[in-house]
Amino acid sequence: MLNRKIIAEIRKNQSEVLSEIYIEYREEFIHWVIKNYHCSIDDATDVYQNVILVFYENVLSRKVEEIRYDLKTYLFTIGKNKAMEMKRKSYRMVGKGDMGEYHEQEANNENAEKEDKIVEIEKSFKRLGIGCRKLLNLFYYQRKSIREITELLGYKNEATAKNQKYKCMQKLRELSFYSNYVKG
Amino acid sequence: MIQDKDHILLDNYIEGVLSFDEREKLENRFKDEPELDLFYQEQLALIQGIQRAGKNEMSQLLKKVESELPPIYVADKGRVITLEEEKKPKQWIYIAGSIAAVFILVLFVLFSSPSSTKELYAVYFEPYPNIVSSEQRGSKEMVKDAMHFYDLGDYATAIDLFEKEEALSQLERFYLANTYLANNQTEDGINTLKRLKGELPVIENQISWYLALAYIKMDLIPEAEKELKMIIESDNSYQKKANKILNEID
Repeated sequence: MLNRKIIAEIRKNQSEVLSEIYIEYREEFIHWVIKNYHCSIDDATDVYQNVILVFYENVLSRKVEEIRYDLKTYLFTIGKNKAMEMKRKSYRMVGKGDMGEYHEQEANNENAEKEDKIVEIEKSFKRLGIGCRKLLNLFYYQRKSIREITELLGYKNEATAKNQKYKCMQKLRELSFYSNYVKG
Repeated sequence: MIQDKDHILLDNYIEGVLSFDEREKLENRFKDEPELDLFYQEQLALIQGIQRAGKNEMSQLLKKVESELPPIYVADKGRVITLEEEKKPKQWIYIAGSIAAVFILVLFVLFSSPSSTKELYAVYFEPYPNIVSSEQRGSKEMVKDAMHFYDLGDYATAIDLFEKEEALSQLERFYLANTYLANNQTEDGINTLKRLKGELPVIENQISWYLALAYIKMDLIPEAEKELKMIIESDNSYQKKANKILNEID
Protein backbone atom coordinates (compact mmCIF):
# COMPACT_ATOMS: atom_id res chain seq x y z
CA MET A 1 0.00 0.00 0.00
CA LEU A 2 1.35 3.38 -1.04
CA ASN A 3 0.73 5.17 2.25
CA ARG A 4 2.28 2.39 4.27
CA LYS A 5 5.32 2.76 2.04
CA ILE A 6 5.44 6.49 2.73
CA ILE A 7 5.15 5.91 6.47
CA ALA A 8 8.03 3.43 6.37
CA GLU A 9 10.05 5.93 4.34
CA ILE A 10 9.41 8.69 6.86
CA ARG A 11 10.60 6.46 9.70
CA LYS A 12 13.72 5.64 7.72
CA ASN A 13 14.50 8.93 6.06
CA GLN A 14 12.38 11.35 8.03
CA SER A 15 13.39 14.85 6.98
CA GLU A 16 13.79 14.15 3.27
CA VAL A 17 10.41 12.52 2.75
CA LEU A 18 8.71 14.93 5.11
CA SER A 19 10.03 17.90 3.12
CA GLU A 20 8.69 16.37 -0.07
CA ILE A 21 5.26 15.89 1.48
CA TYR A 22 5.41 19.46 2.77
CA ILE A 23 6.03 20.80 -0.73
CA GLU A 24 3.47 18.54 -2.38
CA TYR A 25 0.41 19.76 -0.44
CA ARG A 26 1.61 23.22 0.64
CA GLU A 27 -0.03 25.46 -1.92
CA GLU A 28 -3.37 23.69 -1.96
CA PHE A 29 -3.54 23.48 1.82
CA ILE A 30 -2.68 27.13 2.41
CA HIS A 31 -5.26 28.28 -0.18
CA TRP A 32 -7.84 26.04 1.46
CA VAL A 33 -7.20 27.41 4.97
CA ILE A 34 -7.29 31.02 3.77
CA LYS A 35 -10.53 30.43 1.88
CA ASN A 36 -12.34 28.57 4.63
CA TYR A 37 -11.00 30.22 7.77
CA HIS A 38 -10.35 33.75 6.46
CA CYS A 39 -6.87 34.15 7.85
CA SER A 40 -3.59 35.60 6.60
CA ILE A 41 -1.02 33.66 4.56
CA ASP A 42 1.30 33.72 7.59
CA ASP A 43 -1.32 32.13 9.84
CA ALA A 44 -2.25 29.56 7.21
CA THR A 45 1.45 28.68 6.78
CA ASP A 46 1.80 28.26 10.56
CA VAL A 47 -1.21 25.94 10.57
CA TYR A 48 0.27 23.92 7.73
CA GLN A 49 3.65 23.53 9.46
CA ASN A 50 1.84 22.46 12.60
CA VAL A 51 -0.13 19.86 10.63
CA ILE A 52 3.00 18.38 9.07
CA LEU A 53 4.64 18.20 12.52
CA VAL A 54 1.60 16.48 14.05
CA PHE A 55 1.54 13.99 11.17
CA TYR A 56 5.27 13.34 11.60
CA GLU A 57 4.97 12.81 15.35
CA ASN A 58 1.98 10.52 14.86
CA VAL A 59 4.10 8.43 12.51
CA LEU A 60 7.00 8.32 14.98
CA SER A 61 4.81 7.36 17.92
CA ARG A 62 3.16 4.71 15.77
CA LYS A 63 -0.26 6.26 16.19
CA VAL A 64 -0.38 5.98 12.41
CA GLU A 65 0.61 2.63 10.99
CA GLU A 66 -1.42 2.87 7.84
CA ILE A 67 -3.62 5.56 6.38
CA ARG A 68 -6.81 4.01 5.13
CA TYR A 69 -7.74 6.97 2.97
CA ASP A 70 -5.21 9.05 1.10
CA LEU A 71 -2.52 11.16 2.73
CA LYS A 72 -4.07 14.41 1.50
CA THR A 73 -7.38 13.66 3.26
CA TYR A 74 -5.49 12.75 6.42
CA LEU A 75 -3.52 16.02 6.39
CA PHE A 76 -6.59 18.12 5.64
CA THR A 77 -8.48 16.44 8.50
CA ILE A 78 -5.75 17.38 10.97
CA GLY A 79 -5.66 20.79 9.29
CA LYS A 80 -9.34 21.40 9.89
CA ASN A 81 -8.90 20.90 13.63
CA LYS A 82 -5.75 22.99 13.77
CA ALA A 83 -7.35 25.84 11.81
CA MET A 84 -10.37 25.81 14.12
CA GLU A 85 -8.08 25.84 17.15
CA MET A 86 -6.27 28.86 15.68
CA LYS A 87 -9.59 30.65 15.16
CA ARG A 88 -10.76 29.86 18.70
CA LYS A 89 -7.51 31.28 20.08
CA SER A 90 -7.89 34.46 18.06
CA TYR A 91 -11.50 34.91 19.26
CA ARG A 92 -10.34 34.45 22.86
CA MET A 93 -7.66 37.09 22.35
CA VAL A 94 -10.23 39.57 21.04
CA GLY A 95 -12.98 38.67 23.49
CA LYS A 96 -11.22 38.65 26.82
CA GLY A 97 -11.26 41.74 29.01
CA ASP A 98 -9.06 42.62 31.97
CA MET A 99 -10.67 40.05 34.26
CA GLY A 100 -10.49 37.34 31.63
CA GLU A 101 -6.85 38.14 31.25
CA TYR A 102 -6.36 37.92 35.02
CA HIS A 103 -8.00 34.49 35.31
CA GLU A 104 -6.11 33.20 32.34
CA GLN A 105 -2.87 34.47 33.85
CA GLU A 106 -3.65 32.72 37.12
CA ALA A 107 -4.33 29.44 35.35
CA ASN A 108 -1.16 29.85 33.32
CA ASN A 109 0.95 30.36 36.43
CA GLU A 110 0.36 26.76 37.42
CA ASN A 111 2.02 25.59 34.24
CA ALA A 112 4.61 28.34 34.06
CA GLU A 113 7.03 26.69 36.48
CA LYS A 114 6.83 23.39 34.66
CA GLU A 115 7.30 25.16 31.34
CA ASP A 116 10.38 27.03 32.62
CA LYS A 117 11.88 23.74 33.71
CA ILE A 118 11.35 22.20 30.27
CA VAL A 119 12.89 25.23 28.58
CA GLU A 120 15.92 24.87 30.87
CA ILE A 121 16.21 21.17 30.03
CA GLU A 122 16.03 21.98 26.33
CA LYS A 123 18.93 24.42 26.77
CA SER A 124 20.90 21.79 28.72
CA PHE A 125 20.17 19.26 25.98
CA LYS A 126 21.84 21.55 23.46
CA ARG A 127 24.94 21.62 25.67
CA LEU A 128 25.34 17.84 25.48
CA GLY A 129 27.82 16.32 23.03
CA ILE A 130 26.53 15.42 19.58
CA GLY A 131 26.67 11.66 20.38
CA CYS A 132 24.38 11.99 23.39
CA ARG A 133 22.06 14.38 21.55
CA LYS A 134 21.70 11.94 18.68
CA LEU A 135 21.11 8.96 20.94
CA LEU A 136 18.53 10.65 23.15
CA ASN A 137 16.76 12.18 20.16
CA LEU A 138 16.55 8.78 18.46
CA PHE A 139 15.18 7.09 21.57
CA TYR A 140 12.82 9.67 23.04
CA TYR A 141 11.77 11.75 20.02
CA GLN A 142 12.06 9.42 17.06
CA ARG A 143 11.01 6.46 19.24
CA LYS A 144 13.57 4.10 17.81
CA SER A 145 14.18 0.90 19.75
CA ILE A 146 17.50 0.17 21.43
CA ARG A 147 18.10 -2.46 18.76
CA GLU A 148 17.60 0.08 15.94
CA ILE A 149 19.81 2.61 17.73
CA THR A 150 22.56 0.00 18.17
CA GLU A 151 22.58 -0.51 14.41
CA LEU A 152 22.20 3.15 13.46
CA LEU A 153 24.94 4.46 15.75
CA GLY A 154 27.19 1.42 15.44
CA TYR A 155 27.32 0.31 19.08
CA LYS A 156 28.91 -3.05 19.87
CA ASN A 157 25.69 -4.46 21.26
CA GLU A 158 22.37 -3.44 22.81
CA ALA A 159 23.79 -3.46 26.33
CA THR A 160 26.42 -0.87 25.32
CA ALA A 161 23.75 1.31 23.72
CA LYS A 162 21.57 1.04 26.84
CA ASN A 163 24.47 1.91 29.09
CA GLN A 164 25.33 4.91 26.92
CA LYS A 165 21.73 6.07 27.03
CA TYR A 166 21.79 5.87 30.82
CA LYS A 167 25.02 7.90 30.96
CA CYS A 168 23.61 10.54 28.60
CA MET A 169 20.48 10.86 30.73
CA GLN A 170 22.63 11.26 33.83
CA LYS A 171 24.64 14.00 32.10
CA LEU A 172 21.46 15.77 31.06
CA ARG A 173 20.07 15.42 34.60
CA GLU A 174 23.19 17.00 36.07
CA LEU A 175 23.18 19.85 33.58
CA SER A 176 19.48 20.49 34.05
CA PHE A 177 18.95 20.13 37.77
CA TYR A 178 22.27 20.29 39.56
CA SER A 179 24.47 22.69 37.57
CA ASN A 180 23.27 25.62 39.73
CA TYR A 181 24.41 23.87 42.89
CA VAL A 182 27.76 23.06 41.33
CA LYS A 183 28.22 26.67 40.24
CA GLY A 184 27.15 27.93 43.68
CA MET B 1 20.46 6.96 45.90
CA ILE B 2 18.46 5.46 43.05
CA GLN B 3 19.42 1.89 42.24
CA ASP B 4 20.14 0.75 38.67
CA LYS B 5 17.22 -1.68 38.75
CA ASP B 6 14.93 1.25 39.63
CA HIS B 7 16.19 3.16 36.60
CA ILE B 8 15.12 0.27 34.40
CA LEU B 9 11.84 -0.05 36.29
CA LEU B 10 11.08 3.66 35.78
CA ASP B 11 11.97 3.50 32.09
CA ASN B 12 9.58 0.58 31.67
CA TYR B 13 6.91 2.43 33.65
CA ILE B 14 7.23 5.49 31.41
CA GLU B 15 7.18 3.29 28.31
CA GLY B 16 3.99 1.66 29.64
CA VAL B 17 5.32 -1.89 29.45
CA LEU B 18 4.87 -2.88 33.12
CA SER B 19 2.19 -5.34 34.14
CA PHE B 20 -0.74 -4.10 36.22
CA ASP B 21 0.79 -5.53 39.43
CA GLU B 22 4.23 -4.07 38.79
CA ARG B 23 2.69 -0.70 38.04
CA GLU B 24 0.60 -0.71 41.21
CA LYS B 25 3.59 -1.72 43.32
CA LEU B 26 5.72 1.09 41.87
CA GLU B 27 2.97 3.68 42.34
CA ASN B 28 2.74 2.67 46.00
CA ARG B 29 6.49 3.11 46.32
CA PHE B 30 6.17 6.68 44.99
CA LYS B 31 4.03 7.46 48.05
CA ASP B 32 6.54 6.02 50.50
CA GLU B 33 9.81 6.99 48.79
CA PRO B 34 9.90 10.70 47.98
CA GLU B 35 13.36 10.38 46.47
CA LEU B 36 12.08 7.86 43.93
CA ASP B 37 9.05 10.05 43.20
CA LEU B 38 11.26 13.10 42.64
CA PHE B 39 13.55 11.09 40.38
CA TYR B 40 10.53 9.96 38.36
CA GLN B 41 9.23 13.53 38.03
CA GLU B 42 12.67 14.67 36.86
CA GLN B 43 12.89 11.82 34.38
CA LEU B 44 9.51 12.84 32.89
CA ALA B 45 10.63 16.46 32.60
CA LEU B 46 13.90 15.41 30.93
CA ILE B 47 12.01 13.37 28.35
CA GLN B 48 9.69 16.30 27.66
CA GLY B 49 12.73 18.56 27.23
CA ILE B 50 14.33 16.12 24.76
CA GLN B 51 11.06 15.83 22.83
CA ARG B 52 10.66 19.60 22.75
CA ALA B 53 14.18 19.95 21.34
CA GLY B 54 13.37 17.34 18.67
CA LYS B 55 10.14 19.10 17.78
CA ASN B 56 11.88 22.46 17.50
CA GLU B 57 14.54 20.97 15.28
CA MET B 58 11.89 19.60 12.91
CA SER B 59 10.02 22.88 13.04
CA GLN B 60 13.19 24.72 12.02
CA LEU B 61 13.64 22.29 9.16
CA LEU B 62 10.10 23.02 7.89
CA LYS B 63 10.73 26.76 8.21
CA LYS B 64 13.89 26.34 6.14
CA VAL B 65 11.94 24.41 3.49
CA GLU B 66 9.26 27.13 3.47
CA SER B 67 11.83 29.93 3.18
CA GLU B 68 13.29 28.36 0.04
CA LEU B 69 9.97 27.96 -1.76
CA PRO B 70 8.40 30.53 -4.07
CA PRO B 71 5.78 32.77 -2.44
CA ILE B 72 2.16 31.73 -2.56
CA TYR B 73 -0.30 33.76 -4.58
CA VAL B 74 -3.76 34.30 -3.19
CA ALA B 75 -6.66 35.99 -4.92
CA ASP B 76 -7.92 38.68 -2.57
CA LYS B 77 -11.05 40.53 -3.62
CA GLY B 78 -10.21 40.32 -7.27
CA ARG B 79 -6.53 41.17 -7.09
CA VAL B 80 -3.51 38.98 -6.63
CA ILE B 81 -1.28 39.36 -3.60
CA THR B 82 1.81 37.56 -2.42
CA LEU B 83 3.13 36.92 1.06
CA GLU B 84 5.54 39.83 0.79
CA GLU B 85 3.01 42.19 -0.66
CA GLU B 86 0.61 41.32 2.12
CA LYS B 87 3.07 42.82 4.58
CA LYS B 88 3.26 46.20 2.75
CA PRO B 89 -0.17 46.88 1.29
CA LYS B 90 0.38 50.10 -0.63
CA GLN B 91 -2.04 50.60 -3.48
CA TRP B 92 0.31 52.68 -5.62
CA ILE B 93 2.90 49.91 -5.72
CA TYR B 94 0.36 47.59 -7.35
CA ILE B 95 -0.68 50.25 -9.84
CA ALA B 96 2.91 51.16 -10.73
CA GLY B 97 3.81 47.49 -10.91
CA SER B 98 0.87 46.71 -13.20
CA ILE B 99 1.72 49.59 -15.54
CA ALA B 100 5.36 48.48 -15.69
CA ALA B 101 4.32 44.89 -16.30
CA VAL B 102 2.01 45.89 -19.18
CA PHE B 103 4.76 48.09 -20.64
CA ILE B 104 7.33 45.31 -20.48
CA LEU B 105 4.83 42.87 -21.98
CA VAL B 106 4.14 45.22 -24.91
CA LEU B 107 7.88 45.65 -25.53
CA PHE B 108 8.36 41.91 -25.31
CA VAL B 109 5.57 41.20 -27.82
CA LEU B 110 6.82 43.90 -30.21
CA PHE B 111 10.50 43.11 -30.19
CA SER B 112 10.99 39.50 -29.22
CA SER B 113 10.97 36.57 -31.55
CA PRO B 114 8.86 33.52 -30.68
CA SER B 115 10.50 31.56 -27.89
CA SER B 116 12.62 28.65 -28.92
CA THR B 117 12.53 25.51 -26.84
CA LYS B 118 15.95 26.39 -25.38
CA GLU B 119 14.65 29.80 -24.30
CA LEU B 120 11.63 28.18 -22.75
CA TYR B 121 13.88 25.86 -20.83
CA ALA B 122 16.02 28.78 -19.63
CA VAL B 123 12.93 30.61 -18.40
CA TYR B 124 11.49 27.67 -16.47
CA PHE B 125 14.49 25.69 -15.33
CA GLU B 126 15.71 26.30 -11.85
CA PRO B 127 17.58 23.58 -9.91
CA TYR B 128 15.37 22.01 -7.29
CA PRO B 129 15.91 23.74 -3.91
CA ASN B 130 18.10 21.94 -1.43
CA ILE B 131 15.58 21.04 1.21
CA VAL B 132 17.66 18.49 3.06
CA SER B 133 19.53 19.78 6.10
CA SER B 134 23.12 18.56 6.35
CA GLU B 135 22.55 17.23 9.91
CA GLN B 136 19.78 14.98 8.68
CA ARG B 137 21.43 13.80 5.52
CA GLY B 138 23.00 10.81 7.21
CA SER B 139 26.61 9.83 7.25
CA LYS B 140 27.44 10.00 3.52
CA GLU B 141 30.22 12.57 3.59
CA MET B 142 30.51 12.58 -0.20
CA VAL B 143 26.81 13.44 -0.59
CA LYS B 144 27.06 16.18 2.04
CA ASP B 145 29.94 17.73 0.13
CA ALA B 146 28.12 17.29 -3.19
CA MET B 147 25.08 19.12 -1.82
CA HIS B 148 27.34 21.86 -0.49
CA PHE B 149 28.69 22.48 -4.01
CA TYR B 150 25.16 22.16 -5.40
CA ASP B 151 24.13 25.01 -3.09
CA LEU B 152 27.12 27.05 -4.28
CA GLY B 153 26.21 26.44 -7.93
CA ASP B 154 29.46 24.54 -8.62
CA TYR B 155 27.66 21.75 -10.44
CA ALA B 156 30.73 20.13 -12.03
CA THR B 157 32.30 19.48 -8.60
CA ALA B 158 28.93 18.35 -7.23
CA ILE B 159 28.60 15.79 -10.06
CA ASP B 160 32.11 14.55 -9.41
CA LEU B 161 31.30 13.97 -5.75
CA PHE B 162 27.87 12.43 -6.39
CA GLU B 163 29.39 9.99 -8.85
CA LYS B 164 32.00 8.88 -6.31
CA GLU B 165 29.27 7.75 -3.90
CA GLU B 166 28.39 4.16 -4.64
CA ALA B 167 24.88 3.86 -3.23
CA LEU B 168 22.85 6.98 -3.77
CA SER B 169 19.31 7.07 -2.39
CA GLN B 170 16.43 7.91 -4.73
CA LEU B 171 16.28 11.48 -3.50
CA GLU B 172 20.04 11.86 -3.91
CA ARG B 173 19.74 10.57 -7.48
CA PHE B 174 17.03 13.18 -8.04
CA TYR B 175 19.49 15.88 -6.96
CA LEU B 176 22.17 14.33 -9.17
CA ALA B 177 19.75 14.57 -12.12
CA ASN B 178 19.17 18.24 -11.31
CA THR B 179 22.91 18.78 -11.11
CA TYR B 180 23.35 17.22 -14.57
CA LEU B 181 20.65 19.49 -15.98
CA ALA B 182 22.16 22.58 -14.35
CA ASN B 183 25.55 21.59 -15.79
CA ASN B 184 24.11 21.24 -19.30
CA GLN B 185 24.50 17.42 -19.28
CA THR B 186 20.90 17.15 -20.36
CA GLU B 187 21.05 13.56 -21.64
CA ASP B 188 22.55 12.32 -18.36
CA GLY B 189 19.83 14.24 -16.54
CA ILE B 190 17.11 12.62 -18.63
CA ASN B 191 18.51 9.11 -18.13
CA THR B 192 18.78 9.57 -14.36
CA LEU B 193 15.25 10.94 -14.12
CA LYS B 194 13.83 8.17 -16.33
CA ARG B 195 15.30 5.54 -14.00
CA LEU B 196 13.68 7.29 -11.03
CA LYS B 197 10.18 7.15 -12.49
CA GLY B 198 7.84 5.19 -10.25
CA GLU B 199 10.50 4.74 -7.57
CA LEU B 200 9.70 7.70 -5.36
CA PRO B 201 5.95 8.42 -5.35
CA VAL B 202 6.17 11.55 -3.20
CA ILE B 203 8.18 13.42 -5.82
CA GLU B 204 6.66 11.88 -8.94
CA ASN B 205 5.44 15.30 -10.14
CA GLN B 206 8.84 16.88 -9.55
CA ILE B 207 10.46 14.10 -11.60
CA SER B 208 7.98 14.63 -14.44
CA TRP B 209 8.49 18.40 -14.32
CA TYR B 210 12.27 18.23 -14.71
CA LEU B 211 11.99 15.48 -17.28
CA ALA B 212 9.57 17.62 -19.30
CA LEU B 213 11.93 20.61 -19.17
CA ALA B 214 14.87 18.47 -20.24
CA TYR B 215 12.86 17.05 -23.16
CA ILE B 216 11.90 20.59 -24.18
CA LYS B 217 15.55 21.59 -24.23
CA MET B 218 16.32 18.59 -26.46
CA ASP B 219 13.37 19.47 -28.74
CA LEU B 220 11.65 16.20 -27.84
CA ILE B 221 8.24 17.84 -27.72
CA PRO B 222 5.94 14.74 -27.74
CA GLU B 223 7.87 13.29 -24.77
CA ALA B 224 7.69 16.63 -22.95
CA GLU B 225 3.95 16.86 -23.62
CA LYS B 226 3.43 13.40 -22.19
CA GLU B 227 5.14 14.35 -18.91
CA LEU B 228 3.33 17.70 -18.69
CA LYS B 229 -0.03 16.03 -19.25
CA MET B 230 0.72 13.61 -16.44
CA ILE B 231 1.41 16.54 -14.11
CA ILE B 232 -1.83 18.26 -15.13
CA GLU B 233 -3.88 15.15 -14.42
CA SER B 234 -3.25 15.27 -10.68
CA ASP B 235 -3.79 18.11 -8.25
CA ASN B 236 -0.35 19.46 -7.40
CA SER B 237 1.80 22.56 -7.18
CA TYR B 238 3.29 22.13 -10.68
CA GLN B 239 -0.10 21.97 -12.38
CA LYS B 240 -0.38 25.67 -13.33
CA LYS B 241 3.16 25.92 -14.64
CA ALA B 242 2.73 22.69 -16.58
CA ASN B 243 -0.46 24.01 -18.19
CA LYS B 244 1.22 27.24 -19.13
CA ILE B 245 4.27 25.65 -20.68
CA LEU B 246 2.08 23.14 -22.52
CA ASN B 247 0.20 26.03 -24.14
CA GLU B 248 3.48 27.62 -25.12
CA ILE B 249 4.87 24.54 -26.86
CA ASP B 250 1.58 23.70 -28.59
